[in-house]
Amino acid sequence: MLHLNFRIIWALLALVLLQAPLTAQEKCRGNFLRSEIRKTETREQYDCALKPVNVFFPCLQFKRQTHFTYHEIRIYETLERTIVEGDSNAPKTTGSSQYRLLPGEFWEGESSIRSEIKEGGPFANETFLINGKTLQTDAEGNIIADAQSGLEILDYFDNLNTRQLDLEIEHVLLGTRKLTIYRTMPRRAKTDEKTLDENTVNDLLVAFNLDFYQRLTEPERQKLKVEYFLNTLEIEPGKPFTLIIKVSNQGSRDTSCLLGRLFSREPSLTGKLFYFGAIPSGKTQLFSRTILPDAGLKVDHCFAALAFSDSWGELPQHQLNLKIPVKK
Amino acid sequence: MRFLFYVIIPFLAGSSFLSGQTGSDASNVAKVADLFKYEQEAHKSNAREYEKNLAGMSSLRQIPGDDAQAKECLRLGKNFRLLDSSIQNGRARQVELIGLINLMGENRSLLPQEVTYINHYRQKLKDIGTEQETMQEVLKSKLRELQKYLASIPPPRSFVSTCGLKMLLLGRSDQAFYISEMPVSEAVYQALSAFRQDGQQPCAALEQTPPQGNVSIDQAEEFCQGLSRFEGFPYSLPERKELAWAERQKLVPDIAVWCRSKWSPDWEELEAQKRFGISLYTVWDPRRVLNASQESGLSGELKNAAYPQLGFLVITPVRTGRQLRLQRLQAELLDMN
Repeated sequence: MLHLNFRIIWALLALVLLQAPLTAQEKCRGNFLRSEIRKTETREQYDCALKPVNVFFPCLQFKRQTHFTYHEIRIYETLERTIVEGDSNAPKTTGSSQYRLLPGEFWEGESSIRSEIKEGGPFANETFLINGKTLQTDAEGNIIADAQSGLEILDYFDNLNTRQLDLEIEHVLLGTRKLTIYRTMPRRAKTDEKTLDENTVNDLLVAFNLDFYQRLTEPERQKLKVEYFLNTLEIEPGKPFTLIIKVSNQGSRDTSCLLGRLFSREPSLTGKLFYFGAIPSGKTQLFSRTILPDAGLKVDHCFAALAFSDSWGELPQHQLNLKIPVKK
Repeated sequence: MRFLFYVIIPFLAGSSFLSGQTGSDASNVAKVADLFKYEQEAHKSNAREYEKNLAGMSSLRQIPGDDAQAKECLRLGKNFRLLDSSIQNGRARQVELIGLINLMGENRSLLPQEVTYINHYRQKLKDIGTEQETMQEVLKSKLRELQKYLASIPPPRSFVSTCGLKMLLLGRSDQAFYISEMPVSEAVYQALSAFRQDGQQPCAALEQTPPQGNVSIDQAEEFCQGLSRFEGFPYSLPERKELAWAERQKLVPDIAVWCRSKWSPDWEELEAQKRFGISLYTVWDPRRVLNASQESGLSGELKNAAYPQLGFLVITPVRTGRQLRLQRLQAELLDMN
């Protein structure tokens, strides 16, 4: 019986001693090696933005996109750490260890998610619902917000106090997104702090290539030449027509935030804004609006006045009085 | 009698009367007596006239009709002024007569009874003078009352101007005014234009023609200036409050008409007009002749606009009607006289 107890004791002791090398050496993380993609998710989507144009209708540009979501994990080296013992001459500190690279062994670290969007080109010939209007992109993925589109973006901004317009855009498969169009005028000179005024993305006037930065020097305000053109000799009730205004800067300094507005008894005419901004010296700027006269128009002529203002106030000397014939 | 008086006074003043001859004294006293009697009678006549006109004034309110009352006011006013003038002249004569009597009193050759007579005449003349003074004060007060009463008589409900515009009374008390019953016609417009340009007087009876259209607000204002010069009273384009009265009284023109008020439907539009330095003027188009689908009868229009269906009404203050009535009644009174 005593021999049996001794054997049991020695076995237990051997077991304890065998475990001793496991606490003296352990694995730990080493240098970062790479990220590995463990899973990739893709999703088709689209983007919409205001496109710079040379005509005076806002143009919405649609692009296909693929949205990639990468689930990644960081891979590190695996190191073996050994606690230093033995040599009494060697300096000892608490936690002194030796590390040995374990080749072929890798340590998996934290996971992360990374997204990437890849452009897929114009979203051509696709149907969208924009603020309740069904519209189709052309071969270049554009929708021109002209009179036929019904979007009335320019009309919306005819209210001088309006700074932005939200468009709710829906695609039957790819879902809904919002596009905010801004109309910032005047623009102030750039500062260190980013402000709304400095954001030129999706700005209506920037898209028209118009400069509405406020000038510091007063222009020669009397040296403007203003002309107007109609695309028809007579306007017809219920049929749209185009009014083109041409302003020539005959002074020696840029104009500043030049803006025109129509005033008329006719609701279809009054309030229409014409944007000119800064016209360099010796240059000419055109702006046009397509106007839909009221179907109930009974008069022989429509009277309208195009009045101007700039950064320095009103310009009554350049007011244009229009007498537009109406077809019976 | 007055002539006799003005002959005798200088005669007595410069004659042998002053030298105190006895034979002349008696005749002078007799003449003074005659003059005194004349003054007495004149005063009695004035007093009767005075009482009669005061009685007329107290029964003024019982007279039916505004025109009749106004005419009676004018008649009484004229009578009061004539009476006042008569009393004034009488007082002047009496002062001179008293002066003469005083001169006579210095003559020691007068008999005692002659002295008594002339002293009596002097006292009576002074009494008459006091009464006349009272009468004149009352007449002034009554004239002021008459003016107030005349002003309180309601203005005529309508009148026709010299160039043939029928003007109707609208509004109440301080805010009452006259407005033309119809938009100014082509005939009246052309006639006044000719008057403005070369002073050619319009015909007495202008034919009935359609309303004048194709006028801008500036042209309408010029017409009003010409009309004011021609009529001698102020005429102008109506403002919104006057057109509101016209609408309430169902005085609705068949065409659109100009309004002098500037157009400011909301603060945003007003701000835009200020920013661009432009003003629009109100047009009232109750029958929607300019735009059938227009919601409101009021709209803003540019001052240079002109349409065949856009004309104008004219207004004039209440005093025009009152003054014209007075002029007519005064002319009638003169004809009666």
